[in-house]
Amino acid sequence: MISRTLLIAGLSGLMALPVVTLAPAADRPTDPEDAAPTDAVYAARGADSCLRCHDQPPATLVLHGPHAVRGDPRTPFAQHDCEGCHGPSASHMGAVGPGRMRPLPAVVFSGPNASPVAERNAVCLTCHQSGLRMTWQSGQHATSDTACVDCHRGHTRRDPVLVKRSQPQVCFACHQDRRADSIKLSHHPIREGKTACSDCHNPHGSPGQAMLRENTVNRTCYLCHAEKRGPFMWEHLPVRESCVNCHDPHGSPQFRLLHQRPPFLCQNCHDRRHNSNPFSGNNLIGANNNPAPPSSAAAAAAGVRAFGVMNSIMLSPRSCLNCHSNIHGSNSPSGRRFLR
Amino acid sequence: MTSKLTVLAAGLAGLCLVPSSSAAQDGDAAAGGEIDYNFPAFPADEVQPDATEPVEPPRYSVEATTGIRYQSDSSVLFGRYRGTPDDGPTAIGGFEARGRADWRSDDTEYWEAIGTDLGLPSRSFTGRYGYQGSWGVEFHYDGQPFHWSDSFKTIYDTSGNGTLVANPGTTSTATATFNAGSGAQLTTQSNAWANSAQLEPFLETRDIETQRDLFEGGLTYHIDNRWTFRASASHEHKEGTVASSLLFGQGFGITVRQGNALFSPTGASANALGFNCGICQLVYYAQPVDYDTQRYEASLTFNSPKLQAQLAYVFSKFSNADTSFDALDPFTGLSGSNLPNNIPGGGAIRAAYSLPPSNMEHQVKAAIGYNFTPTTRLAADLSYSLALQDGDQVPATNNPASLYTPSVAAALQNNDDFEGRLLNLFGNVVLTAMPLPKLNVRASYTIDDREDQSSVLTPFRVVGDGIGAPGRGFSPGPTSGDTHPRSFQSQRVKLTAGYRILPGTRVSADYTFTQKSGDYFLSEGTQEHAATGRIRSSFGDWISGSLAYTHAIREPFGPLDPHPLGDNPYGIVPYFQSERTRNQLTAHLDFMVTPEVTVSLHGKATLDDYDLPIAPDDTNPVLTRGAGRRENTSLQIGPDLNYVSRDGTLSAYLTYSFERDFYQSHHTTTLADDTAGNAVVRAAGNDPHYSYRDTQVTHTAGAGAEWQVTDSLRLGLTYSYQNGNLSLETEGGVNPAYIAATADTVGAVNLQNFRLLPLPDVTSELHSVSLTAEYSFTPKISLLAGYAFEHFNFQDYGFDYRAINETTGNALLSGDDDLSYGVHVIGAAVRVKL
Repeated sequence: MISRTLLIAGLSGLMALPVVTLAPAADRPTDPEDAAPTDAVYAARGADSCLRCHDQPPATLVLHGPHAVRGDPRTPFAQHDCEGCHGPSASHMGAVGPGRMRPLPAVVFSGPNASPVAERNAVCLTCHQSGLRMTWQSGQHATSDTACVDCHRGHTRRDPVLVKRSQPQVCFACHQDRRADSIKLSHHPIREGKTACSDCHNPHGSPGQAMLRENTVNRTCYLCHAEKRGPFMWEHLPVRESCVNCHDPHGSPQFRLLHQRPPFLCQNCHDRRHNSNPFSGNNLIGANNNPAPPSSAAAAAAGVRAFGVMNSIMLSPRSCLNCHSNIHGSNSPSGRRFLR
Repeated sequence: MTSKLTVLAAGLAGLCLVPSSSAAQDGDAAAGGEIDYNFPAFPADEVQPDATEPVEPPRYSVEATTGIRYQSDSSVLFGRYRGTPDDGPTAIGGFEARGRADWRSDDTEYWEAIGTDLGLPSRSFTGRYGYQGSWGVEFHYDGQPFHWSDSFKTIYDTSGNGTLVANPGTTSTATATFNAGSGAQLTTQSNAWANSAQLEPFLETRDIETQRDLFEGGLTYHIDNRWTFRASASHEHKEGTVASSLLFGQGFGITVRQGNALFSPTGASANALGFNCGICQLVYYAQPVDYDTQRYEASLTFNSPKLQAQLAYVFSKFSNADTSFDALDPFTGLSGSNLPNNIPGGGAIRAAYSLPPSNMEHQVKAAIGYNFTPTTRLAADLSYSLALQDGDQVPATNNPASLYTPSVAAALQNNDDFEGRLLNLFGNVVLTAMPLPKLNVRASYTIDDREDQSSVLTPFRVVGDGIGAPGRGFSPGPTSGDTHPRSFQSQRVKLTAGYRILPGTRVSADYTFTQKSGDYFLSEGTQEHAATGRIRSSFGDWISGSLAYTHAIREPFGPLDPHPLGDNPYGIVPYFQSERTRNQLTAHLDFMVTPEVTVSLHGKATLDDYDLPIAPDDTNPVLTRGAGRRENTSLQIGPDLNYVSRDGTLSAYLTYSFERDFYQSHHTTTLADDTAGNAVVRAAGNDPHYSYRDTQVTHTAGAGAEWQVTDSLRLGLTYSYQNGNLSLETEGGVNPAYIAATADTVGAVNLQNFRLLPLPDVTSELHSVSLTAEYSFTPKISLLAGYAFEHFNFQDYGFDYRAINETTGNALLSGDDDLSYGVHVIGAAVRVKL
């Protein structure tokens, strides 16, 4: 118990060190285009002021969510209720003369009058900047001017992008090519609701490539396919370097999410010195169009195959993997060619 | 007591945070005061109660759904992930319950319980409880079925635990006859079929399927507003079978080989080296899966507006209950039981087969982000992990005949245990800034280092039992028997600058430099320079779009690395390391036709040219002319149309996507040391070169609508269509006229195998329709009804769908049924809200 306590204390102290060194008085990170309020005033009645008009869903659904918890001092409702996110909006709540447009709230998150993306995101980042959002600013979504509310819904009982079954539809709105991939012959169970985009990707940005949840492609794959992790006695270089050398995780018209069908996939690297190089035509499995044995050169020239040799097997779906069945790695003394 | 001490320790250690956190709170509070607005536009009786009124009771919602579905036909492909491969009725159900304290109160309690797909193998359950901002616990269960085949035929009785034996009743007469036809290269097709036909009565059908059961639990504890501790644990059990195959070879005597040194108790001979892949034998079987994966994670997170930091430890352990197994060789007169009787002449049982070994990994991760100014941020990540694998040594052979020879057995005892040890270091630092109001810049550096410290072994193996020994087609090199731990390192620098030239228009440019190097690369490594130009623009709310172009050049550097297998004896030119030029264009356009209708157009085109291979070599026609992948292109384009009515009661979409992937590769036939042992292919008048052009075209279309017809009735419709076509064109290759001219019958037979003839296209077509309706009788009771239809047509030359006896003479394939299907599903359910 003491050791655990010391461990926690040590870790806490370690985390505190950079704070002591670097942190001046904290302020809210905002874009320069975000006009900081100078004489901000908030409604004394808080959300009740807003509910006078915005008393129907979806506006009221925020009251059922984690943002509307006054007892949690981290939430906007613990600060200024609705104005915790929408900013001080005195003019919006004030009287409006006949024929005049009601002024907008300080921050409008959606619709034709939405505030600039940087301004909207700054509100969210005030609280949501740690953990998965640590590298938001350098992520591809941030650099392509994506707003948090383009994907997230605060005024709902369950944010669709946080629900595994509905999340892909949110992503497909922009990533239409992935929607097409999800219907292909070979795909992860996205369409069936068992896998979500965020099982592999961190849409808030990632230190690694392709905004993956883990730092590398392989580490991400190992989350579910730990049996491929190894290390193995015999290792296959493209497997170790990146799973996407052979697989397309978003979907493929080939089995096993492969880019190409073996043996053609394998022959992208492996050439000659293997008597299974070319496979076509008469070597189809089960072909019976040339029943005569290739007993002579003339017969061979006429297209008669040497039935029974491995060539025909190479056109079966497993192809090279018929023999090299442990292609992801082998622990057998005879596994150098991944045959065992 | 423990938790108090822990919290105290953490609090003391973080005491130095107080000044900064206090300052942050002061800063937040300085936003302004409060004012009671005057609302002259509203009558007094509409004023809502203020916060001094009594707190409302906790809010909760509970709803449950139960019903039944009926599926018209069986299909493993339709039910692959749904867990519904079989026809017939199935009970279904689900529930969703959640509660939270009233928002006006200071109570932070919340709870949630959700169950879906109850009654199906794809069921899931999630439960959460806690006090927001204080602590919370959660539990999650997820079932993930996977069905691959329900018509997989195999001669093996068991799925691999221990030893694979033949199905009950299998006679040695049949297997011996089969062997007689395949023990040497077959010369007649009819004989092969006749021999394999004798085995057909003894083949049995197995289901190829797995089921994952994932259990996860987590605890979150908020030490204060800025410090959060989280711990989680998960356990996944995966069980079932996967389709795989076993290879048996034609051994010549019993020979033990270590590296390049021949160890033979009976004396070395040329035949002892021999392994002719042309007469090896193959059996499909159901490989056992009995995996357990545990993952434990603990993290400590700090969050303030200025600084965010996280430190985490992750432990992951993978355990396989079956890390190896033996298989009786069905080509040696195998009968159904009684192992000692299944060794006619020795060799019915061969070397053990390895399955994924158990492994584990420890990982420490640290991340920090700091905002120097509101627009200048530094973020850094560091991860260090240690992966271990020290599973039991897989036996080099379990062939009693081999082991009976004392000298062989003694040699095999010298095999050392493999101790796998892998260190991974990943680091990343990125700086983002906006030095000018319209200019943003970004710079990042990333390193990914994999250091494989696994032991280098030169294991003994029995040539005739453990296929993979050097021999024909597997030319030995000086250290051909050594294991090759794969260590490599990747470093990347990326610089980005963007400038807003107009209020709605930003242009940006990227430059990325990537360098990879490692052991057993063909050269020291590769370097890639990539430049991207991009423009993104929006005009009002009506139209927005982006256009980006990338040009990248990848080149190997350094001398050709002396390869442990010799001077690239297999002509291996890894396409992912070879010289490449990439051009890529991406575009996106959104156009709001009306406030209700939006049209999008997206496209992406990639062209990869693989230029000369790594090391041009005039003596090697492969390397001088280029081998392996030469080019690949990818084009994907399609429009989307979305409609949402003004009142939000009707939404609809139309989508279409065209995708074309093209791969071209170049190859060389080299029969100089192949089956016939001659070099005829390179003779004058013959062309050893040939190429493939692999084209994959996919059309995808979809439509959907959701309509809230009345307050009580809601309808839904979705339709998906996909058409895929895979074609392969060939060019060049062995000249048929040359084959006719040769007098070498055996050579001609092998040359014949190198003729390039067209392959049939592989086609697939999917139609999927679903209709759903929900009608509310009362606010608390609803009726749900649905109908779905899917039709899939699949034509693939790889699946001949012939009887097993019409496959090949020396391979027992699985003979799976046609994957095409047409399935109707109808269902009805009642939803009750409490």
